[in-house]
Order: sequence, then structure tokens, then C-alpha cells
Amino acid sequence: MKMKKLLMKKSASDNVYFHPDFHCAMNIVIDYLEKKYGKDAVKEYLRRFSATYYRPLTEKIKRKGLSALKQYIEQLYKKENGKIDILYKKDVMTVLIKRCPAISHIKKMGYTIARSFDETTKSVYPAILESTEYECEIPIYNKKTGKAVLIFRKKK
Amino acid sequence: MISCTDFIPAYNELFKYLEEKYGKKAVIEFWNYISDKYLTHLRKLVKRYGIKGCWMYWSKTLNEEAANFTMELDREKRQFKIIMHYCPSKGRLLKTKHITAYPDYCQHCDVLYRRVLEPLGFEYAIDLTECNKAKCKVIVKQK
Repeated sequence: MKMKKLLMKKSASDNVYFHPDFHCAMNIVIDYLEKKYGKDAVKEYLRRFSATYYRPLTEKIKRKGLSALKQYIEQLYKKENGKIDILYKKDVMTVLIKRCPAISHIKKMGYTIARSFDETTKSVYPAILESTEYECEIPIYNKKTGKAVLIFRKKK
Repeated sequence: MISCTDFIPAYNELFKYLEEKYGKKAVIEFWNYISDKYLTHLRKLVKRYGIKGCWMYWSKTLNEEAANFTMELDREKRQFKIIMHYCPSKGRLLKTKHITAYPDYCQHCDVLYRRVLEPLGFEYAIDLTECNKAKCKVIVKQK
């Protein structure tokens, strides 16, 4: 017999905040912005978002150097079940992204990766670092998999 | 990569960006678009299971978003209800002191879900009178 009423009551502490489908939503955001307003709009939006939202991280990098960014990236990929290697020296850090959780999930859910999705890396890190003494270079980025090499170093 | 746990602030900043650059109309246009492209699973579930599809959809999303909520499906009344005691999205924006919430942030829940549910033969009502406290109430009724 079917229950006439179903009831579910949850408090925030009953679950861990982790909703990977938001990667798909971000993919739609990027695709929409690019198709409607152009690639510059994607970059401008991501720069603004990063400069605003990641400001505490930027301030930490100013105080502690690249170790703050290292800690942030390690936690980010651990939480998302990504695979990375980090080669770290005081003023140079190379991050090898071996599995991008965002792209893996978007593909798993059947979406096509937005052409400018790479800007969620390529525009975000430079914006985080803009007012610091560090810069970011991305010599390798595979748009289909998200595998990438990111190099962070002191500005010349 | 932007973490999926940072999507809500990114979403919030997008609304602000669109309104500042292109006006409020651009924000609404985007909400319509993301409803069509992102809520496909809700649409499929409701088409297949009727009002129970709402229960199935929000059971997953609200738990993954660690919301503080009460959800009720009343088959006799053919009604589905969410009482959001503390919305994780709006709550996050209110708690994050170095960002400001887009003034009409909660309005997106009205536009997005109404656009899916009304064409499928449901009434959709959302009470946002306490959304500045991250509280709201949603009622979906089969017509």
C-alpha cells in the first residue's frame, strides 16, 4: 500500500555540503555568456567574481606567499576527489592536474563542455594573484579532460 | 577549476554582473535559459512520476546542499511542500561578509521552477517574505 504522506525533516548538520551538479550549472553559465555576450564577457565575469570572492585568499597569499595557494589547491582537489601533483619551492610552484573533477562530472552527466570552460582556470588564478607578487602561467591545458600544468612564480 | 561549493557565490556575482552590464532583463533571460538547460532532470521526473517527481528531485538536491528543511508529499491533496528553515544558498551569501547578496537573488527560485512546473499542469507558489533570513516556503499542487 502506498503511503498517503511522505515527510522528510533535515538540518544542515545531517549532510555534507557537496553538490557536484553545480559544475554542470557553471558549464551552462560559461556557455551562455560566451554565446550571448562573447568570450570577453566570460573573462570579465570570472575576473570580477574571482577578485571579489577569493579576496581573503589573495590577502593570505600576500601575507604567506605561495604556501597559502598550495594549501588552497590541495584542499580544493581533495574535497572534489581530483588528482593532482604539486612540485613546490618557496617562490615557484608547479601543479599538475591529472584529473579535473569538474570536467569529469560534466561529461558524466552528459553535457558538452563549454568552449570557454578553460577560463574557469585561466581567468580565475590570474585574478586571484593580480595584486600579489606572483603570477600564473598555464603552458598546458587539455580542454577535453581538464588535465593541465599550472606554474605559479614571482612576477619578473 | 572553481569548486562546486563555490558555485553559489559565483552565481550571485553573475546576477550582479549581468544586471550592471545589460540590465535586469538580462538576468531574467538568463534565469529562463538555465531553467531550460539545467532543470531537465526535474522536468523528466515530474513528467514520469507526477507530483512525486518533485519529492524525488528535491530529496537529492536539498540533501546534497545540506539544507535545513522540512519536505512533505501529500498524495491525497496532490501537493508537495518545502519549508526551508535555512536555505544553504542564501545563508551562504548572508554569512560571507566580504560579498553582498544580489538584492533579488531568491527570485531565481520563483522563475526557474515555475517555468518547469506550470507547463506540466502544476500550480507553483513560493513565499519569499522571509528570504532575508534565508527562509522560504514552496508549495506545488497538481491542478
